[in-house]
Amino acid sequence: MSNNFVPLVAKVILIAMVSITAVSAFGMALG
Amino acid sequence: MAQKFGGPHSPDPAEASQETAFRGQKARKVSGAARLMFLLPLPLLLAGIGEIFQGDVIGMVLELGGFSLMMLSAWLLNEGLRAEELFNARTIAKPPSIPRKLFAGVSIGLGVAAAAYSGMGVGIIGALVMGGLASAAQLVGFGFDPMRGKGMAGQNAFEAERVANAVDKAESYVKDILDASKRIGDKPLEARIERLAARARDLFRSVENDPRDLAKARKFMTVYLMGARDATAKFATIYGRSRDVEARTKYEALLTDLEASFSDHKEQLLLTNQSDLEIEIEVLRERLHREGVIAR
Repeated sequence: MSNNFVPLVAKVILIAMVSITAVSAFGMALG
Repeated sequence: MAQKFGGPHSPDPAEASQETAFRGQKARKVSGAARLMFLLPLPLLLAGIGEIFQGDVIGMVLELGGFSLMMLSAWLLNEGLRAEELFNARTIAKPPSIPRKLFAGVSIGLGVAAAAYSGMGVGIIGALVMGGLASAAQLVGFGFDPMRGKGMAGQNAFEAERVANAVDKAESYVKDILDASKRIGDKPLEARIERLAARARDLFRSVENDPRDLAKARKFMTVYLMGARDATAKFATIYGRSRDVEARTKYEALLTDLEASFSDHKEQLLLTNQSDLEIEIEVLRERLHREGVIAR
């Protein structure tokens, strides 16, 4: 269980970072 | 009395044996998170296009560049996972020649840094920190590439490398044969070729399990398979164009010969393994008797 936990958290962080940077760049470009 | 149904177009029970193309193959794993990485950067593309309208050249370069790097990373990541899966399926294997997952990790970091610098106004240091974090998260989340060969340790390293090379080469012939068979456009014949390929792969696995078999199987894995590849490619072209019955008969005869030779090879290899095992058991028992562990 703890074996999969760290990679899972890392994936969540990665997905959050990529989507936040992409969306905020989009927001900034809009206005 | 119950009667078994069968007609001229029913599948041949002998053909519908276990030897399907899927034998010994595992279902391909697909990582949803890795696929998602293709989708997430899309707003960045729109942002980059928006920057073009606003005439912000630096913003455009950073955002479109960041988008490209993220897409490159997603592609490398998915390819890397596929390569890792193939690596895991084999007993003896060399590590993938390009560390795709590692490159994917670097690429996502650069992409996030570029996008954060341009789109979030965090400054260079902030952008680099974010990029570094994204790289680390990807490498921890998806892991590193297999860096070392497997089944290659110890004094057999040279032998194992020869086996890995020979199997790689033979696998590429089988792949070519299967690709060419798709052009024939004749399902029963394609199925037969697929079964032949499955048999060939069976043989590769047994060579991997016992590298000493390579000497016996080498001719088969190079000369025969190469010949089969060339014959299949030529046959596919001719038969696809003219549906020549004579060519088909000849090609089918070749397949029959190959099938017989495959089975022969496999049987011989198994036979050698068996006699090896018998000798080993005999020697060990002899020794146990001599040392008085087991009474005669």
